[in-house]
Amino acid sequence: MARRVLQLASPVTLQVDGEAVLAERGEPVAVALLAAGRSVFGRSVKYHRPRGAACLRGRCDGCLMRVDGVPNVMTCRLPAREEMVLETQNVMGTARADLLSVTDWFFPEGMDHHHMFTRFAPINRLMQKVARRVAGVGRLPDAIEAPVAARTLERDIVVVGGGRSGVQAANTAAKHGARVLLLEEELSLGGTSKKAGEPLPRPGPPVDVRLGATALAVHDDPTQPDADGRPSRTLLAADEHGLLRIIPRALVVATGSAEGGAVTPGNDRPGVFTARAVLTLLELGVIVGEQVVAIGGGPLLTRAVAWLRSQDSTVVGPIAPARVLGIGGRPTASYVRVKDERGSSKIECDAVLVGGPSTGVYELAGQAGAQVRFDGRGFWVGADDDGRTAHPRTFAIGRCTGRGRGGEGSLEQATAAGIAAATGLDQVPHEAAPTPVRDPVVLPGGKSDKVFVCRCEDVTLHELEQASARGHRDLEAAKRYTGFGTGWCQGKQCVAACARLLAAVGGECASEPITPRPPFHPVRLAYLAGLSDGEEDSDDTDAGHPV
Amino acid sequence: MSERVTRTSDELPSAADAVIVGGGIMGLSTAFHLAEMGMKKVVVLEKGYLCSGASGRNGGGVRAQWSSETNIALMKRSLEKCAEFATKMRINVWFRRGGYLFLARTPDRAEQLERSVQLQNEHGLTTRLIDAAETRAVVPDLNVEDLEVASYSPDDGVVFPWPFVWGYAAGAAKLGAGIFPFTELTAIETNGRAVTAAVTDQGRIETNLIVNASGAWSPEVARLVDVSLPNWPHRHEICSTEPLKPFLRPLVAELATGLYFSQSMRGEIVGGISNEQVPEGISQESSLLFLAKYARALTRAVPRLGSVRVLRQWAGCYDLTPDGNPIVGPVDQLDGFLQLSGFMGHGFMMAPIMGELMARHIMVGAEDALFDRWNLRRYERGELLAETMILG
Repeated sequence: MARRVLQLASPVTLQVDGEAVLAERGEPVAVALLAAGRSVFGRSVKYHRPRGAACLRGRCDGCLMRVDGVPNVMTCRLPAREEMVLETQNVMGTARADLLSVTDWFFPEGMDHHHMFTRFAPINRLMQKVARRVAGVGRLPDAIEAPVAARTLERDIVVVGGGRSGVQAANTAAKHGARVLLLEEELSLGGTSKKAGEPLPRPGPPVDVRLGATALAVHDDPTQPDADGRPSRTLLAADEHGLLRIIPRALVVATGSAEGGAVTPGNDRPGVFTARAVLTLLELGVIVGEQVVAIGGGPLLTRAVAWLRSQDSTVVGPIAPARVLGIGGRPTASYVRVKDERGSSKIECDAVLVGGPSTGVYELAGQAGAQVRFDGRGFWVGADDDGRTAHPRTFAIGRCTGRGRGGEGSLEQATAAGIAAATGLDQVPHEAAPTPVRDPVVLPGGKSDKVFVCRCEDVTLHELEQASARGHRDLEAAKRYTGFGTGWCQGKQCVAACARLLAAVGGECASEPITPRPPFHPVRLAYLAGLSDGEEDSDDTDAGHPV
Repeated sequence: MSERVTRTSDELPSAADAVIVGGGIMGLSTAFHLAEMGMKKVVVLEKGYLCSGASGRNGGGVRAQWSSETNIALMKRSLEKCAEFATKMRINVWFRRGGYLFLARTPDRAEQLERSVQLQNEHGLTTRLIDAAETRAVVPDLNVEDLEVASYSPDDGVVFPWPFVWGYAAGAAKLGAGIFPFTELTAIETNGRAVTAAVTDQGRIETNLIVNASGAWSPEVARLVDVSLPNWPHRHEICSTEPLKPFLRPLVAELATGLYFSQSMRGEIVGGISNEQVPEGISQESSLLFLAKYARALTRAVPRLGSVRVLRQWAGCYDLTPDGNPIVGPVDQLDGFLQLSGFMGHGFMMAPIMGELMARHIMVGAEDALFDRWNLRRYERGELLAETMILG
C-alpha cells in the first residue's frame, strides 16, 4: 500500500464517488488518490478491467476520471483543489467489482470484434445494439463550456521541452539575440535528466519560460504563405488558460524520451507503474509500496529502486523481463510470477515498477517535417550534431533523437542547435541515415492473463497476432485492424511497443511510425472554438513564469 | 484462421482478365463482384496500404436523402447492401441506422430541403420535414434557435468504413482475386486502340481490361494514356473526439456550413465541415483553420460539447467533377479502359452498388443507361447533370 512520508501542509478534501479523500493542495489529483490507497481509477473500454494511473505524465489512459461534471479528465495533470468532485468512469457496479468484466472472462485472450456474431442476422443486430450501449467511456459533460479566446505569440525560436537539452538550447539561442519561448508540459523544468538525478542548466533571464504548457500540434499551411512565401507555420499549445497560437521562425524539438511498459500477462493492472511515475511519487513524498517488484532496467529504474530502499521499502529485482511470466492480483497487482529453477514462483508485492525499453517522443518533430526512424526498439528523430532535421526550420535535440542516454554529446548538440536556430536558418536539411534494426523482441512466456499492447483501446497481443495472420501485416494496417493507437493517448504509450511486437508475431518490421495525427494531446472543442480566423486574437503580454 | 485480406505470398501474375487500379472500396467492391460473377483472374493494385486513401479516411455516412432521382435510387440499393453486409461478408461494419438529420437555418435552405424531401417521398423514402420541437426530440442537445426546418430520414445511417474495405478484399481474395497493396501502376501499354498490359513497380500484367477506380488519383492514372478527366482533388478534413457514451442517434448535417457530425459505434463524435481554402492538388495535410472552423460550428450546434476533446484530425481527398456527378464507363479513344471515379465525397456509400453495376457491365456487357448518362462524353456534349445535396 502506498503511503505518504510528508505531513500534508495545506490539506484539501476531494469527493471520490461520494467518499472524502485528503490531498495536498496543488498536487496532482492522481497522486493524492494513490497516496490514499485508491489505485483503481475506472474501468477499461472493452473488457471493463480495472485501470489506474500508471505513467503520471499524461501518456496513458489510466488516470482518467470524471471531474466536476467533465468526462475523461487526466488527473495526473490536475492540481488538487478544495471540493473537487471525482467519479470513476465506465463502471457497472463498483469500480472494484464491475459486472461487465464478464467480457474479460468470456474472451480470455482478447476478442475479434470484426468477425464475431456475423453468422445470423438477428443475433448480429442484437450484438450491435449491445455493443453500442456499452461503447464509449465518459458521459457527455454536465455544463456548457463557452469558447475560450486563444492568445497569439510571435517568437524567433520556440523550444518544446524543458529538459537539459531544451534549456541549454534556449539559453544559447537567447545569448545569440533571439527571442526565445520555452514550453514545458510539467510544472517544473528538468525532464528525464532531473528524474535521473543529472545536473541541469538554469534558463537565463531573456528566455520566456512557460511551465504547464503542452505543445499540441504543428500546422504548416500552404494556403496562407508567410512573408517569405513559405507555408505559414503555427505551433499550437495549451496551458491552464486555454490555447496559445505560436508563430515561430524556428522550432527546436526537445521532447525527450518515454519508457515503454512490460509486455507480460496482466501488464495493465492498477499498481503497475513506470519507473518515472515512481520517481514522481517519491518527489512528492509518496512511497508507492512496501513490497515492490522491479522489472527491467534503465537509469530511472535504478534510481527509483535505490530511493525506495532508502525509504525502507523492500524491492525485489530488478528482474529481467524474459523471466517474468505475468503480473497477477485482483483488482490491483499483488504478485509477479517469475521463471526459476523449479519452474516458476510467485513474488508477493503491493506495487510493480517497470523500466521498459524507451522510445523518442517523436510525434511533434515528425509532424514538423523531421524524419523518424525505428531501430527495432523505439522511434527516434533523425538529427545531426547541430540538431538539424530534414526540415530547414525544425531542429531536434537530446533524447528524442536518441542522444543523451548517458549524456554523451547531447549538450554539445543542444548548444549547436541553439546557435544554428538563432543565426543560421534554412540550412541544408539533414537526411537521416537508415537505422540498423535490432533483432525482434522475445515474446512473453506466460499465458495466465491478457497481454496488453494498447491500454486505451484494450488491444491484446493475441489480437495483434490475429491481425497479422489475416494479412494486416504492416504497422498502419495492423493499427487499423486492431485499433491500437486510436484511443485516448493516440499511440504515445503503444506504437513503439506494437512496432517491436508486430515483427515478432509474423508481421513486417516497421521502419517508420504511423502517420502522426495532430493534436498530440486531447484538446477541448471550447479552446479550438476560441481560435479566431487570424488578426483579432489578443496578444499575450505575459512575460512568463519566473523560474 | 479464416480469410485474409491479401495473399502476401502471391507473386504478381503475368496476365489477368481485369486489372483494377485502386484498392479503395470502389475498386475492391468491383473486384469482389467480378469474382462473384465468375471472372477468374482479377487483380487489384493499391499503391499504399489498404484504407490509405479516401476509403479509410471518410466519416462513414450512408444515406438515400439525395436530390436527384438517380442518386436516390442507387443509394436505396446501397443501403440494402450495407444492411446485409455483415452476415454476407462475415465481417462487422457496425451499420447503425440512426437516421440523417439535415438542418436548414435560412429560408433558402429550407426551400431546398422541402423540394428534396418531396422528391425523396415520391421515390418511396420515409424522409419527413420536422420543426424545431421535433428536432429537439431527435437530438435533445441540439441548438435549434435559428432553425427554419429540418429533414429527418430514419433509415439512413453510418458505418465503420474500414471493415467494408477488408470485407470486400477478403471476399474477393477468397474467390481467387489477387489484392496487391504497395504496388503502383506506372504505365499502361496499348496497341493504339485497346489496352494490352498494366505495368507496375512490381512487374507487368497482360490484360485487355483496366478499371480506373483510383478516386482523387484517377486523373493521374488516365493521363498515362493521354485521357483527360475533368476531375480534380479537393482536400476534405475531418476529426474525431474522445469516445463518449451514446447520446447522439442521427448523423446531423447543416446545409449552409457543410458541418456534419455523427457518433461512431465506438462513441467518438466524428465530423467535418466545408472548407474552400485548400491547397491545390493532392494534399492530405491537416490544417488549424479546419479545427477552428469545425469547433466553432460544432459547439454552436451542440453547446454541451464544449468540454469534449478532439483526439485526432486527418484529411483525405474528395474527387470532384464539374457537375457533381461521377465519371463511369468506357472512354471513346481507348478500348478496355473503364472509368469509375468522380464520386465527390460520397463514393464510399455508392461503392456497394456501383461495384456490382460495373461488374455486371463488364461481365454481361449491359449498356446500362447509367453508364451512358455518367459517361465522360457528357462533358464534350455539354450535358451537365445536377445534384444539390452534396456536403463539402
